[in-house]
Amino acid sequence: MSQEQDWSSLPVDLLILILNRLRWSSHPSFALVCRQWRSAVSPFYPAWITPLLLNTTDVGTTNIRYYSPYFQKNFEIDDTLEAPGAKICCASGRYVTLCMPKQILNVDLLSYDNDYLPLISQFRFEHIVYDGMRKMVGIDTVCLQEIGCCMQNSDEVWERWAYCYPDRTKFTASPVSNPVFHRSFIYLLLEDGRLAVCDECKHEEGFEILDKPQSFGFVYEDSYLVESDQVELMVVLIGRRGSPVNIFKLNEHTMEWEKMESLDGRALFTGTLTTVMKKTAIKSMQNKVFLPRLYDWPDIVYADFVLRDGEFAFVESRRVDNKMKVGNGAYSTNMWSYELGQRENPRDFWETERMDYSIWVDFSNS
Amino acid sequence: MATREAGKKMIMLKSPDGMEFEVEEAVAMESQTIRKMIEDDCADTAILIPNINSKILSRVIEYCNKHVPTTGATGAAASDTVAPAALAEDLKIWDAEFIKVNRATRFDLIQAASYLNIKGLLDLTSQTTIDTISDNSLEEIRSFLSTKNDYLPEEEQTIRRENQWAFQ
Repeated sequence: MSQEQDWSSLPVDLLILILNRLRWSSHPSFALVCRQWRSAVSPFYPAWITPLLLNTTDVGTTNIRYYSPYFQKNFEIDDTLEAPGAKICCASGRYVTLCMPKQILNVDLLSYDNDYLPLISQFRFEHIVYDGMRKMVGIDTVCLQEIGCCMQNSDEVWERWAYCYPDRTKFTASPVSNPVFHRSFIYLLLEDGRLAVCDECKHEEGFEILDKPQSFGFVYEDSYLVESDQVELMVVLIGRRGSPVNIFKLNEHTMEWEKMESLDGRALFTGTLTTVMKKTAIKSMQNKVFLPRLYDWPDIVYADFVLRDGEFAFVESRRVDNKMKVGNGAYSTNMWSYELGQRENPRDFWETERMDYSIWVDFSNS
Repeated sequence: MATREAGKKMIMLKSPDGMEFEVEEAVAMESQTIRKMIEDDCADTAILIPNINSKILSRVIEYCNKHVPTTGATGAAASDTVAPAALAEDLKIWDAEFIKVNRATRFDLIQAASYLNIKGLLDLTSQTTIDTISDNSLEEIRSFLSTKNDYLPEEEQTIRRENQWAFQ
């Protein structure tokens, strides 16, 4: 008869076989079972726990990096966005949209599938937004209003662009923020804080500036529009060199901006054309606003993207001595962040390095 | 059951407790370890399977018998009448019954599947372990596996701290 076996005695290579089929989020529990089991667990960095800042010094030639505000490391993947000189337009979850002259493409960051859309008639659009499902909208407001729309059919083929040139007043949209899809309308944040709205089903009617909400009534440098994880329309206002930081939510009954004192345990990742607002279980990140500005140049980890039961993580692919490491390792000092309701003023942008060519992406639902 | 065809090659498997099992070569080759031995010509008469007692070995053979592909030139009869999907479904039900064993047997089966390198059996036997680890608290996992926590409290704290994201 077999005696009651001790499962902690299972050989390491067998434990590794089990681990290879176990989702990443269970690996820490696996390591905690006992010492023998821990010896089978190799280090990894989960990619889904917060949005990541995709950054690349030169689109098309240099490797893609993902900065994690939680690990404060820049994970470099052995892959490029295959579109030399393209502009990063927007991101939706695991998809990033790029624009080259007359050409727009959608890249699936997990499969590296490049999805080329039909050519556009003009050189480029001022704003390009993807709804994350089957619609791409290009918007120009500078000289005259022009709205282009491209839809994916049920065979996942992009159909021809449809254009319209609504005859409306001109306006200036916030140059640093994309328009936002919200409850079957497209919202544009104007430089003075008002909103322009276009019905998703009636592009030909163009954008109309709403009477309310009015402007915010104070001066700020940058403004970003976002639809939150709870389908609220919000605006982030950043003052000169990072101070002050204000967040407003649109009350859709009174159509007034309401100042937010707390993010209710969520975190806001902004400062790029796409802004992401998410609930986070990580206490040190709750109620904070993150901007793509770094105090220290982060460690670079050369990594592979590895899937385990639906979850993606970075696994170090080759070890490089980070002798250049300057960071002191303390939490939340590397990336510029501001906690709502904190006593001190937001930290100044001085001595920060701005991460250009970057955008927030999110692998949490992949 | 159809009568065994004359041309089929048979292999003798021996367990360390002296039992011998005569199986078809195709069935034995479900195990990549045995397949390699046969292909390397190290298996003339009988193959001794170390570390796996007759009780477990007979269960493993039972599994391989069920899972050996029935399609092909000689044994196509079974799959001609049954749709592949229904066959797969039937196999799943059979697997579910097969794995209804006590923890000690499953422990032995995992080790056997690993040693003999039988992917399907390894998947099947480790799945319960995977489910347990995925769905339960650490205490439940330890008690299910009847493992002893050999960590010092401070070591456990260190692991928790290193994986803070997972324990908040």
